[in-house]
Amino acid sequence: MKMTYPKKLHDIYKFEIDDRLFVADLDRCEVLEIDKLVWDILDICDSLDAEQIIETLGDRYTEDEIMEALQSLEKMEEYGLIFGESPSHAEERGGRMKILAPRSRVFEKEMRWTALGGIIAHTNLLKSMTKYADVYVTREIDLIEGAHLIPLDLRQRASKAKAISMGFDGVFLWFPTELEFLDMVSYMDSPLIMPIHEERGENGIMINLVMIWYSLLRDFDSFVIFSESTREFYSKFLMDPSFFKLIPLGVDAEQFRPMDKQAAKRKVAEMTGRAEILERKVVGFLARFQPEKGAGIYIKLAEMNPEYLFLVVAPSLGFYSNCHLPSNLIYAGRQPREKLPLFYNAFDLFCFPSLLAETFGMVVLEAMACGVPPIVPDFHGARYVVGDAGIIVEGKSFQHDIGSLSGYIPVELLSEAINRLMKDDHEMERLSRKARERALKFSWDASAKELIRLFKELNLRKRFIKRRRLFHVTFSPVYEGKSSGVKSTILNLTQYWETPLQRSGYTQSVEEGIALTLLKRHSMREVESVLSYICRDRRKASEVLSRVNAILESVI
Amino acid sequence: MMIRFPQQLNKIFKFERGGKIYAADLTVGCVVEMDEVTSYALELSERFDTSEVIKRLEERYGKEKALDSIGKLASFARIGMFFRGERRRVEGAGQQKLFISPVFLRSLNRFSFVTRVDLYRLITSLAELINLSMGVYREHTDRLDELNSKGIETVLIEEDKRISPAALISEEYSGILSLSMSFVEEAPFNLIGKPVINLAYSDRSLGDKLIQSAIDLLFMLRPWAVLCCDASWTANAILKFAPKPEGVRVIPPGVDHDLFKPMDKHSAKMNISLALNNHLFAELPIVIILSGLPLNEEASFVRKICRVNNDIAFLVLDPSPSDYLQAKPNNVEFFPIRDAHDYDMLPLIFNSAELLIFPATIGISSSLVFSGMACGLPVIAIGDQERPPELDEAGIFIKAACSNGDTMIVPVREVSDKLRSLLRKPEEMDHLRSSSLRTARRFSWELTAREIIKLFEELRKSMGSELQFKGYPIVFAYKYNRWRGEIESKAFQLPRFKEKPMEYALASELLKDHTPSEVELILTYISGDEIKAKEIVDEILSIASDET
Repeated sequence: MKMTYPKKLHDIYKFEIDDRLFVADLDRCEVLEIDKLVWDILDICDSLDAEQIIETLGDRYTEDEIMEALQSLEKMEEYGLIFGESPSHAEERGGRMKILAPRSRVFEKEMRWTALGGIIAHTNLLKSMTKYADVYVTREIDLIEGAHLIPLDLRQRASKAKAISMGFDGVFLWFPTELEFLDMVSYMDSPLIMPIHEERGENGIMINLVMIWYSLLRDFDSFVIFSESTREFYSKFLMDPSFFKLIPLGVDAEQFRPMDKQAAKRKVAEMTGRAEILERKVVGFLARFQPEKGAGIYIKLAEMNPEYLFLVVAPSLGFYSNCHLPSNLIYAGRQPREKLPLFYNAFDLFCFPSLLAETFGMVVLEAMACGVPPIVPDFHGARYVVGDAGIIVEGKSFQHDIGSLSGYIPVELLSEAINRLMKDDHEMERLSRKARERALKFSWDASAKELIRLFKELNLRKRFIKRRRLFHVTFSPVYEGKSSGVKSTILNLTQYWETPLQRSGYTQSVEEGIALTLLKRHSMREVESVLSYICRDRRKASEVLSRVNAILESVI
Repeated sequence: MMIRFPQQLNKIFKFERGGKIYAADLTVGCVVEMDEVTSYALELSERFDTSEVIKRLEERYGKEKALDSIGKLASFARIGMFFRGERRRVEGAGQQKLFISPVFLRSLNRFSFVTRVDLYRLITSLAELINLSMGVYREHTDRLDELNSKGIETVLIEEDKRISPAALISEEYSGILSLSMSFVEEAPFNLIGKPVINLAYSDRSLGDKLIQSAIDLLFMLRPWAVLCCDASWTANAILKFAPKPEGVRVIPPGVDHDLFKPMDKHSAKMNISLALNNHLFAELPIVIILSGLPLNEEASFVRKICRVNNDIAFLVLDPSPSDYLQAKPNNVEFFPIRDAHDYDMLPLIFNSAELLIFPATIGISSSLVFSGMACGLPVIAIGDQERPPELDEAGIFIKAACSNGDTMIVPVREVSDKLRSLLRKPEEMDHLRSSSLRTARRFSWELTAREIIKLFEELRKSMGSELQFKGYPIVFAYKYNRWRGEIESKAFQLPRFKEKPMEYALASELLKDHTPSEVELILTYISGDEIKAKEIVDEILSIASDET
């Protein structure tokens, strides 16, 4: 077995205690017990090759012994221990918050080709945050300019220990799907922020993930949502909508800005080989071209309006590549992000007929930043982005199946709206100006500052709620001459053996007693779900929870 | 995020390098950089409790840094670093030392005089056999000398809402005696993890409150605590509404045989007749009725039995209120026992009588029954359960029915016939008197005290047998049911989010802080299915038992 020595060592520290020898790998936060031979090897293995090591130590150990030890050390290297480059840290600027942004999965290799809005949004947020805080990412792929790389595998105890010891001011998670970070609520004393890029997911998968996080996040953690539509949705069945903090996403208004429309159209016409782009008005579509994103509606729009061109920018045509598409529908192919402003500018209108519960609609904002008026439905987050700077068409919400799709727009309504606007140059120009003006109010910097502010607020909140006084509770039957019912009693005794109440005990309902006792080991939001089950009535459950909150807040 | 100190530490090695402090946990194989405050906190964590650690850190570094460092240590503890569990208090070996909670002196006014005398006798008897201390609030410092003179060490407790007196009980005490019969006030003493005997003496004044208090206590009783009743009828009345026989014992009170003993009957009758100013008590046979039934039932019973037996004088003992009969017949008098003078009359009263009738139900003082028997008084017990075993062969037992399964209906006719029949049979009466005397000799305060001490020993041995509820954590969360398009409440077991039945998960979590009785009660309340509730709890306990 060929062994490659000398090797670069991590930052290690050797020590002896009670006649036992140890080496601490300070980069990896692990401690290994070693023998004298390995101890001696570690003194010289960063400067000598294997043969030289054997020669140097040959007076004390046999060759076989040394070889075996060297091979063991190679194994350690495979595990990432002892050897390797120490991670270099960008210099921390004093007085700034330290934010950890861990990620476990990689979705796409290159940002420039990604069609996943969540990835784009999150990366841009982190990039902007580096201006105001020291941001630490855990994977090289996430390393952006200004961020620090701290290789952590948060499934391992050593990495968890390192995360704790670094004393982060906050943790900015990526996606609710990354459940491997759930146990951070048990050991990280810093506030966690979980953004909700996707409101429902397929068949409610995201709903269920958000519910799990909702249960486990602590009172000083938070969700971040990008439009009120997400809060409106979750308010229907969660009792604490204040847990969702609104921080709209931003847009790079330098990158996405109005250009000379004719010049843009000319360029796009050249790229697509469709010269008519220069002569006819263009309704744009920029998203994954799939039914859920309203591709079918868009195709019908094209069929209904042969006088306009319908220009699609998407990773692929997917299912529709096998369909007969109208001749006025042009597929521009998959485009890298740096080319997107060009295509937006080639649109006269931007159409976003998505059936999904869009939390924001970044593509809508990008189009607006390029001065292109948008047309969106009224049943998801895009309407909050558009405001009065575009057309919001009344759609139909899906009432029963809330798990996937949000609603749909009857294509006739959409067509009517498009036609109305396309025939009104004055209105088009007005909305174009308004779209750009409004888009300028959304910036990544502003979003990043809001996030930092939120982390500060949560840290303050953490101090307030550090010691919650929970009282001991007992349950027993009620005796009024005969057995009649069940009661719970709050005893004048907290888990810290304090006795703050005036009386020795107060009788409460069983539901309140269950809530108070579960709070010793579970969050208020878990208790909420238990009460919903026990009370079988959300209103009653909500009342119980309010009373319980009142009891707890009455004692400092 | 908090952690309780003191904690037992893993094997830790600290070192400095490049101007930074590092702490290596050699047990789990991790090393972290640590700030000075957290390093100091770690040092303190093994020796001091939480408040002391915080105090020392605050003094040196200020409150914010102190709390931050504790938070960090709590985080490390959560991932299994540095700590391996709370330091358990070591039970003192050697002679037993018992503590009476300070609630006792506060509750004295609630009791009848008879109960107060009984409890006093119990405490003084215990003090002769064992080291006994009593917690005393400042308002009772006038009792210190009296208690000290009886060999009872007093511990002055300042009332401070920041700390329960239960938390101040030092490790030297091997058990706690809870005498106030007020569960809510005594509850903290039942939770500190020492053996506890909670006394429940049948007392006219407490009435139904005693049953509720006892029920409340029984449901929260830990394996190292018991409810100790003065008589089988007290226990039965409680168990009827809280069937937890494993938590209930009966240790009868004692009898002061120096005070309660046979005397000349004629002389006694004359004295009582004079005291009551009723000549019928000198002329007619006297029958004592022990008061304790609910007021209406007692009034009805007394009225009827007096009317039917106008050739017998009835003395109702320790009634409350004293005069509830309108147009009281001449052959009945009421004798309240309010003070020492009244109490000292009891031997005369018992010796003057031919028989003692008592309903064996809660509210009837057992010590009055045994004291009467010690004077050679035959007894007629009326009860809706089995014959009280305390009576042994002594006395007559008359079975009564219950209305609605709860209130005892005293069979007046049967009682009347029986007492008349007995009064006509001198030989049988003599036999009953001898049986009473024989049985009464079994009751003494020394014996009662010894039984209590023995019970404490039994409870001490059962400590440490608590079940450990291991297993992965449960999380409760909503879940979207796509088939129904509804949001439901679910329980999941981490880390794989395995769905668990809601009742099962709830029971698992509640059992970590509550007794099986409480949890069964809760599940029954939620589901309405008592059998299923018991099955669930039994299953969880069985698993915990295997794991423990």
